[in-house]
Formats: sequence, structure tokens, C-alpha cells
Amino acid sequence: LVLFDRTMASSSSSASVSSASAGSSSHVGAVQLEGLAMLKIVKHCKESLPDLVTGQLLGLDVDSRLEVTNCFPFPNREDDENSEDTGAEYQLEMMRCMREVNVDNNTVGWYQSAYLGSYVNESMVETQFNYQQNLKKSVVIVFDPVLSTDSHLSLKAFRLTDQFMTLFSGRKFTAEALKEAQVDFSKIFEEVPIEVHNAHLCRALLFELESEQYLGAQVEPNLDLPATSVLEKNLEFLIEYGDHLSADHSKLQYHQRALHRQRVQQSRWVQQRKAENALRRRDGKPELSEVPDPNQFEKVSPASYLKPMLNTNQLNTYCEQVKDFVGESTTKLYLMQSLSS
Amino acid sequence: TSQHFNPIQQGIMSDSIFRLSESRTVKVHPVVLLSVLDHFTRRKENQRRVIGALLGVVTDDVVEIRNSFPVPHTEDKEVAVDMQNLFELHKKVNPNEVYVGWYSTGLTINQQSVMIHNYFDRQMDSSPIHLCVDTDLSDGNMDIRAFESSPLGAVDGSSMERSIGFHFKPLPVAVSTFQSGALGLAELSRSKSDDSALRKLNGETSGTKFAIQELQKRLAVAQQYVDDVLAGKVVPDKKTGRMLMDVVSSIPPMSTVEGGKRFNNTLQDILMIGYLSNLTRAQLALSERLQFGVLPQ
Repeated sequence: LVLFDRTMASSSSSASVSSASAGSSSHVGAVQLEGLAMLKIVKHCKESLPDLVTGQLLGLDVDSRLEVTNCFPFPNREDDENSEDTGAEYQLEMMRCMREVNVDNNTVGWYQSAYLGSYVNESMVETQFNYQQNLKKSVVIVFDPVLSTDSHLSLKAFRLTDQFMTLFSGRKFTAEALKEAQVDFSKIFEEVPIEVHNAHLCRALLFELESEQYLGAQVEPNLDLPATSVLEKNLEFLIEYGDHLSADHSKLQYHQRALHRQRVQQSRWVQQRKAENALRRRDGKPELSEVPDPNQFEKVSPASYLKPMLNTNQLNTYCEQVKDFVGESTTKLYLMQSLSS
Repeated sequence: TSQHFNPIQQGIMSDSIFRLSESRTVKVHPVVLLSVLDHFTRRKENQRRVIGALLGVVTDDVVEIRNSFPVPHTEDKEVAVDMQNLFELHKKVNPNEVYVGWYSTGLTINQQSVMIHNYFDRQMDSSPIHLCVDTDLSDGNMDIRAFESSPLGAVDGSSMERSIGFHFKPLPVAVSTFQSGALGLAELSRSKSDDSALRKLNGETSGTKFAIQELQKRLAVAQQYVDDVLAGKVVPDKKTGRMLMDVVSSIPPMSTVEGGKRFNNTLQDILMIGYLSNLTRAQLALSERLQFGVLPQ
């Protein structure tokens, strides 16, 4: 998975022109996606299968809407030393060229292709966090070329919730931190609805394409029964993530036990000291302190709840996908039954 | 003298003169067209038309235009273009896309076009394609035309090629929706009739709903045809009748016992998996609540 890290996000923000409504709230009601940007995203992600790719979104933010008017893909990062520099260079150069032809060159987010819904992982969250820190209203658009069929585009826009942002900035994921921020797995992302927008000239083009000459451009609506391979793959992922979750669970249990052991040790040590002090009092010797020295015992680092939370979220996503799939298949099955009778 | 070529006239001429040369077909990706229109919409105040470079792949006799990028240019006496940068950038992402030609908006082909075309010819190995997108919407249509140029006139033995002009031969254009294009185009087509030019990107069920509606419409048309034939209003056509019969017989029979069993099995499988996934989700939600309710310290 291609990852552009903090240097990327900060350099993009310095290159972009700050938008007029910088002081307004950071709530994004809807994402308005230009047809051009959508087709470009679809094309790039589909053509790069089976690799997963990313790219940058450009546009404007207007009130509570985020308009995405253009986008460009990121090249695959080679593993050389100056890959970070070349990446930043690429981005700056691209933005400059865009500006010359009057394309909005404000970064408004990034997009990523996903494989059958597996997009929730630490790098993605981290990248989105960096983007959202620098530009209050950025989104990540996830396009799933595997799950998309002729009749349905699996294109979703996400942002991290404000609660999760505060939690993530603290970089501590202990249980107390989670409770304080009131974040559970369902509140990591918020989905932003996408609306497709076309300039009028483009709509003229679309009408033109429907005319006789370009019959090849017609797309037949597809009522095929969806392949069971989708379901199988989803189930495989479900099982895999169930395994991850149980591994995390056992890790947490281990941590609990270690904590408990340490406490038992501490209390035993305090007991011993008390007994010793009682003896010393009897003998008239000076008493030793009863407060345990924290450095004496091996540290048990607090468990991080981030990974289990992300895993849970991913698991939930898979379940939702299965649910959608089930709904659609039953519809099509019943349709077939009624057709044949 | 200004050399203004009317491509239509030259097209008629070409059939008689250049019949031996094979004409290539041009396949255009919808992304390219939309990007051309976008560039045109964003042009500067005084520009009459915009140009840009076309990237793609060339196979035997088909030129596939997959991508494009706008080229800033000025069009006075001289034509100045600057496109090396963008080409390098694009190459990093798609290394197998090469120059295949250039585009311009508006249908006029004039002296500057010839110069630009020659410039592209020098950059490329094969002969470049010139794509014209009619943004002025003349004749109420948005024409998309592609041309290939060949020099008219005698070629001297000397190194200087003296030509009286260039003939732009039109090529057949097809809008290809291979793989990636189809998805996006379907979605866009659905939004084209909305007055407000805005359309929500709907979930999966609406795609199915749309497909079912299409099916209903087509069934209605077919039924209307059959009724008309039975009533004697329309002359029956053997080919249509056979096609209809093929369609009807291709539906797998579900009313038999065997078909019914298959249907039930598939349905049960799907429902069971749906139930399992719902159970998983409930479990996850429950564990989250528990985690926050009972947190050991």
C-alpha cells in the first residue's frame, strides 16, 4: 500500500492556497464530486489492480460542502532513499501545472483504493489524521474496484470524528483515555454522503454519447446474480479478523494478568516491610519506608486499545458488506423466481 | 495564404485519393472527453480554444486514447507550448501511456493547428491523432472527430519537403467503455437528466432498482410488440420472433421441483450467512458496551 506520510501532508498544505472559509466549523455535510474526478479515480484504481493505490483530491470547500473538482494519482513509491523527496516534488510540480490551467489546486483530501473493503488499518488512519490536522475539512474517498459492479459504484467518503481526533492526538490508547473520549469502534469514522455533479457542458456530452453513433458507450444494466466468490472472500476476511480480534483479546488478558501479578508482588512487599517495621519498632531501630519504590518492579506498559478498535471497525465493515450483498441477492433470486413462473 | 481546410470536403476527397491506405479507428475514453470539457470550461478570458496532449496506447490499427492533460498555449502568430513537465509526471504513474496525439476544442483546423500537429509529429514515433471536440455545439450536437494528417503535394528529392498543405483525414471515433469506464459512465449517465445537475451517489439497492426498472420498460416494449402482431397491426418479423423465443426459453425453469430446490438452497445459504454476520455485529456492539461498563483497573 502506497503511503505518503507527514511530510507529504505538510508540504501539500503549504503549497495549497488557503480557502476563504478557513475559520468556519469543520463539519462536512456532503462531498460534491465532479464527474471528471470520479471517472479519474475509478480509472486509476481499476487500472492498477491488484496493487492498491492512492492519489490526491483537489477542490474547494464551500460552507458545509466539500467540492472535489479534480484529482491526480500518486506514483508508486520505489524503495530508494530519496523517495520522500521525489514524492513531495511530484506533488508540488503537479499542483503548479494544475494552477497554470486554472484548475482548483487546493488539496481537499486523498483517495485510496481498497480490496473488498479492507481499508481500515493504522496507516490509513494516520494519514487521514495528518490530513485532517492540517486541513480541517479533508476527507478520504475509498473506492473499492473489486466490490463495484456495473450497477453500483462502491465509493465512500470518510472523515475521522472529532472525538477520535482528540484521542489520536494524545497518542495514548489506554482504557481511561478511551473512556474519557467516549470513543468506541463505531465512532472512529463518519461517512459523508457523496453527490455527483456535472457541469452543463458535460451533461451535453452525456446526452450526445447516448445517441446512435456511440452505441458502444451504452452500458447495459446488470441484473446478474452476484458471484458467490464475493461472499466467500468476505467470509474469509471475517474469519481472519475474528482471529485478529481474539489475538488482541488474549494479549489484553495477558496484560491484565501481568498487572495483577505486579500488584500482588507489591502488596506482598508492603506486607514484608510492615512485618519488618514491627520487628524494628520492638528493637528500637529506625523504621523503613512502607511505600514501595516504583522503580523496583518491572514496568508493565499500559495496553494500547487502538489496534483492537480498528480491527473491530474493519470487522464491522465486512459484516455490513455481507448484509448488503445478502439483500441484493435475495432480491435478484426472487426476481428470477417470478420471471420463471 | 491561410490554409483553411474544411475537413468534410477533404474527407470526400480522401475516399477517392487515399483508398489504399488503411484508416485507423480511434477509441476514446470518457475520462478524456470530460477532462477536455473541464479544461475548456476553465480557460482564460481571451482564449478561443484550448489544446492539450493525448496519451494512450497504439495497437495495430486501433488507437486507444486513455488519458490527456491540458497544455497551456498562446495562439498569436507563434504557437508556444510547454508540455514536457506534465508528460514526465504522468509517466510516473502510467509508464505505458505514450503520446498519441493532441486535442483541441472547436471544429476549425487552421494554420496554427498544422504547426501544432507537426510539433507533435516530431515528438512521436507514429503519426499523431488530432481530436476535435465541438464545444460550440454547432448543429445542436457535440461532435467528436478525430483526424490524421498527411502532407499534400510533391515531395522533392531534396531534404526539404515542399508541401502545399496538409490534409486532415477524418477517422472513425468510438467511445470505449472498457473496464473502468463503464462503471463511472453508468453512474454519470443516470445523473444527466437531473435539472439541478446534482445527484446523490446511492447505495447498492438503488442500482438494482434502476436495473429492474429498465427490465420492466423493455418487457413492456416487447409485450407491446407481441400484442401488436397478434392484433395484426404490425407485420410479424421472423428474426424478432425467434429472438423473443430465445429470450423466453433462456430463463431457467424454477417452477419444477428441481428448480425449486435449487432456489431454496441458494436462498437458505444466503440468509444463513446474513444471519451470521448480523450476529457478529451484535456481538461486537455488545462487547464495546461491556468494555466501557466494566473496565478493570
